[in-house]
Amino acid sequence: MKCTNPNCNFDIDGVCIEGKENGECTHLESSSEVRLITPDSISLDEDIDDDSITNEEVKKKIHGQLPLSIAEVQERVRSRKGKFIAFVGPVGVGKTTLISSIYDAFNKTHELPVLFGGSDTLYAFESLCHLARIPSRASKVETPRTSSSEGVQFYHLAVKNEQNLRQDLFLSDRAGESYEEVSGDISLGNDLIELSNADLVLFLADSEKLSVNSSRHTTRLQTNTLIKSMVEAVPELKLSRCCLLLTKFDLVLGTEAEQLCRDEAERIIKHVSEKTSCHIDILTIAARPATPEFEKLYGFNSLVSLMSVAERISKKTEPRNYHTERSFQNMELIYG
Amino acid sequence: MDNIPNTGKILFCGLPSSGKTTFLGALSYLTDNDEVEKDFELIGLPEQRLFFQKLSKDWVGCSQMQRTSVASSDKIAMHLQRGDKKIYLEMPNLSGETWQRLWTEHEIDKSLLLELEKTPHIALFIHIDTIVVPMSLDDQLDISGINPTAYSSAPWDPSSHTPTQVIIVDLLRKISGYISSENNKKKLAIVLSAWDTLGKKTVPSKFIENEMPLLHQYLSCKFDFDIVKIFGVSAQGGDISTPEGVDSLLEKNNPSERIKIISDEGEHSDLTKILSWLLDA
Repeated sequence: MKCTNPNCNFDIDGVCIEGKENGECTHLESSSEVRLITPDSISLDEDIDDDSITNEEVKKKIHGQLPLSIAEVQERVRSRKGKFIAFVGPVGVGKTTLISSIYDAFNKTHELPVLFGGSDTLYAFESLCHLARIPSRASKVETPRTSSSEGVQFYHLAVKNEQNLRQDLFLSDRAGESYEEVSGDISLGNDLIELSNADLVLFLADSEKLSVNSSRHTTRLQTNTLIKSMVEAVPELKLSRCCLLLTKFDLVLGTEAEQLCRDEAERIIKHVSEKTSCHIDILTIAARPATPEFEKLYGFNSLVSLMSVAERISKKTEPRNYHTERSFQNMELIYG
Repeated sequence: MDNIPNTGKILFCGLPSSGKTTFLGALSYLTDNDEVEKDFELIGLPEQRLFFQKLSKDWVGCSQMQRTSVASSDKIAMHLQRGDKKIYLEMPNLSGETWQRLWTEHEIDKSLLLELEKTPHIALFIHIDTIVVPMSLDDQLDISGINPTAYSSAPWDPSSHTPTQVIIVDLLRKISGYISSENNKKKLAIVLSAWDTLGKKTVPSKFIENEMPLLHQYLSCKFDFDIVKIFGVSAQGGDISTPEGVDSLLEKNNPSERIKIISDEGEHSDLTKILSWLLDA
């Protein structure tokens, strides 16, 4: 049996996310009835390999159903320069929600500082947005959780920036558990390819948790540890523009908790700068405000502008010593 | 005076029930009857003309146009003339499902692929009365002030739950990669069908800007199509779902005058102007 709620892993761990006993939950269906509603790039990547011919000889499979794998991104940036934006944070901080909200903002408004010019991952974006839309008949806004088994995956946005130039943005999404694992064992950092190439790294922290005494110290410690570990595990990250992004800011803005939240954020970047000599900016955002009265798209203009202008510091590379004089092998080393 | 080719092909694409066949019906009747001023004159039909005649008859009689089957290989073909220039024009009638499958299944018929590779001219149809908008749960709360009721959540259905503008952008991106281009410029005509059902006064380009912001931005960027023109078209001319509506349409002495085309420049009844715009280099 599988659960139709994409947040529930009943088929894997046998635990109902709503706490119901087996058989009581109405969301359970036999496996054959369950439809694929979340991207599952790893297992299906091979099946949708670019332009492969399907069983039916008369049809041709075309790409676009899933987020992009790193190989697919690399293929694209060979022909056109891309910009990499990494979203880093613990489980539940809202990384995937933010990615889907950025896309959804283009669906509803012209007011962002860049224009939407296309996407190779529209289908994947749409599947993320479903549980926030009326046709889902969901009782509250949700985003499917990214599983750690999915590794890193990329969402694509082609935009025209304020200088009327095309930019291809690749937004990386990885399960929060994976970043927490690297925090505990930085030797795992080699796998974080999205950080070693990032133009902009957004470290997400929950504003509400930073603003109440019961959780602010642990959240600050957790965020400090996460950022420091990432910088240590991926030294190239110092070449990226870094930003501490305070999510769910609608819950503190204009309240007494706001100043406390801002103070804690300042403490984080001061601490991290001292320990890593990494400069970090602060931005605030409310991807999906809890109340309808709250300003729509709060923080989006600043974030999208930053995504557009942030650029990785180009590093002068030392001539590389190759193991062999043979040209073809050297090309393989260069282009991987 | 003319810089159009001797032969041409225009692909009419759009989701199911987007108005492609009605447009072809109106075009068949219009070209064959001299009731309004036209850019192109019909100078002949090929031997196989049954489909042309059927569409023309259904349209002028205000009959419901038959849905195009998925396996349809029907096409309209005609010899047209503008000034001294003659052109043989083909317009295949492909089903909406054929186009929708590009979104839902991410696969393309090889026969369609061949058509695209030979076609630099695309007319995209959007029925303005059936546009699915991206309404979020927050919007529902905004509008009604009522929190959404907890039902068993419905799994995502890509064909019915996706906003129309998203499917259209995806469709255009995919076909732009396959179509041939003249002078390295890709041209696109967007036909907003059932324009007469729109209650408010606006022009087609403003309609797209206001109602379909994602599509508007996509077209403005011109990453895939260099030249785009948007037409509001009322091909049937009115409501044929009621006997009164049909009667009022049949009252007109010149059925071609039922047709209304609205662009940012003004209003007329000549559908061939859309073909003309597409075919001009």
